[in-house]
Amino acid sequence: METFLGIDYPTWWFLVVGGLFSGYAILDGFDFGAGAWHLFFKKEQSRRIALNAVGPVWDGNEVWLVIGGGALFAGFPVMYATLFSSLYVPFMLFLVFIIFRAIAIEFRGKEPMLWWRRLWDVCYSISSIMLAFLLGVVLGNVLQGIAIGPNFEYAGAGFFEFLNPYALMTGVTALALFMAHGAIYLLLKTEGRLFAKLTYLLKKGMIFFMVSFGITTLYTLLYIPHLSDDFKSSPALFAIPVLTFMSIANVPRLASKRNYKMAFFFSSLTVSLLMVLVAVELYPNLLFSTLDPGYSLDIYEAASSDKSLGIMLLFVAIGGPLVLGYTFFVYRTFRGKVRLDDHSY
Amino acid sequence: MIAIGMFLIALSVYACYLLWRKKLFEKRWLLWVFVFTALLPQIANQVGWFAAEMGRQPWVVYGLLRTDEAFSQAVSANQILFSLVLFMVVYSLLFLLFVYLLNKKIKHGPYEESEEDDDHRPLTKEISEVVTG
Repeated sequence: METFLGIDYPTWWFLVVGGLFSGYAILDGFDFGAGAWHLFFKKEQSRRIALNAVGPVWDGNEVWLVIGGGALFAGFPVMYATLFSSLYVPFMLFLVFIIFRAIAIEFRGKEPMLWWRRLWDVCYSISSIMLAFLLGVVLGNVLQGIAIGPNFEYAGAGFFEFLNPYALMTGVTALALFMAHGAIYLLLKTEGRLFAKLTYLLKKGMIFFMVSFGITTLYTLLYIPHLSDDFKSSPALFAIPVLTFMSIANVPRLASKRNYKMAFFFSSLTVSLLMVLVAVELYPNLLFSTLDPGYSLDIYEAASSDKSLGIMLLFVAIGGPLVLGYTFFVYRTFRGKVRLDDHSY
Repeated sequence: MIAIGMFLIALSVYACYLLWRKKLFEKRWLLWVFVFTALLPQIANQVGWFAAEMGRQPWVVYGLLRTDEAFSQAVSANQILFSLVLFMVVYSLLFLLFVYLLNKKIKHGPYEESEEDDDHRPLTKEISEVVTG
C-alpha cells in the first residue's frame, strides 16, 4: 500500500473527507442556525436583515456538502453506497428540505403579499431546523452503528429504524449547536434592537446546547462503549475532549465580554473539534455493524484503489487552497453589518 | 432533441434576419411561436436524458456494470415509491411556482436603468403596518 509522509492513502482520504464535512458543519451550520431562529424575529425588517445576513454565503456553504458527498463517493465508494442505502429515508427527507429552504430564500422577496412572505418564512425556518436535526440524526446513526449484514448490505428492520433514541439525541444536539453558532453569526451582522434580541436568544441557545450535549455525552459513555475504547487504550487522546470542553466553555465567556468575533471563532473551533472527536472515535472504521463487529466497514475495505486516491489527493492539494482562498474573499467582501438595498432578498 | 435544437437555431436565425430588416416586431405570429418554444429546451433536455438512460440499458456503466447488479439490495420498493411520489409532488409544485413567477416577470417587461427593482421593493404601506404592528 502506498504511503505519503508515512501515512497510507486511505487514511489521508479519511482526513480529507473529515476536513470537508467539518468545513461544511461550520459554514452551513451557522446559516441553518440563523434559519432556525427566523420565526423568533417578528418584524419584517428584522427578518429581511436576518435573511440577508446569510444571503450572499448560504449557497456557497452548501457546496461543501456537495464536495464532501463527492469525496466520499470517489474515495470510499463502499461507505457511500452502504450509508446512503441504509439511511435512505433521512437522506431523501434531507433533499426535500434543502430544496424548500433554497426556494424559500429565493422566492420570499418576489411578492409583496403578507401571506406569501409568511409562508416562505415558515418554510425557511422549518427546513433549517429539520436540516440541522437530520444531519445530527445521520451522525448519531454513524456513531452508534447500523445493522449491517454480510457484504456491507443493510439488514435492519427498515423504515423508521434511523429514528432511534441516540440518533434523536444527536439530532437535537446538532440543532442546538447550530442555533448557538448561528446566533453568534447573526450578532456579527446586526445592530440595534435585533442585535439586543439576539444577545438574549444566544444565551438561551447556549443553555439549550449545553444541556443536550451533556445528556448525549453521558448516554454515549454509558451505553455506547465502542466509542470510548480508543480513549481508554491511548490516554494521550484525552487531550481532544478536554480541548473541546475548553472551547465550548470559552464561547459564553467571550459572548459575555461582547467579543463576538472571537466567540464565533471558538464556536467554529468547537464544531471542528467535535468532528475530530467523531473521527478519532470511528478510525479506522467508517461504519460499525450493530449485528456483528466482523461486518463493520473500515477505511481499507471502503477505499478506492491507491491510484484513484493518489490522483484525487493531488486534486485536493491544488483545489483545496483555491477553495479556501475564494471562501476567504467572499466573507471579506460581505463583512460587517447588513445594509438592505434594492438587490437584497 | 437534435430536431428541436436545429429548429430553434433556424427560428433564431430567421428572427435575427427579420430584426436586421427591422420587421421582427411586426410578425405577430412569429412572436407567438416564440412564446411556446420556451418549453422546447426543457423537452429537449428530458428526451435527451431518456435517450441516454434507456439506450444504455441493460448497462448502468457501459460494458462494466449491469443495472441489475447495481441497484441497492437494502432499499425496499416502498421506500423507492415514497421518494418518487415525494419528488413528483415537490417538482410539480416547483413547476407551478416557476410558471407563475416567470409569467409575472415577462409581463412586467425589461427593467429600465433607473426603475426600482420590482422584485425587491419593500412591503406596501398597509402591509408593513400589519407586520410591524
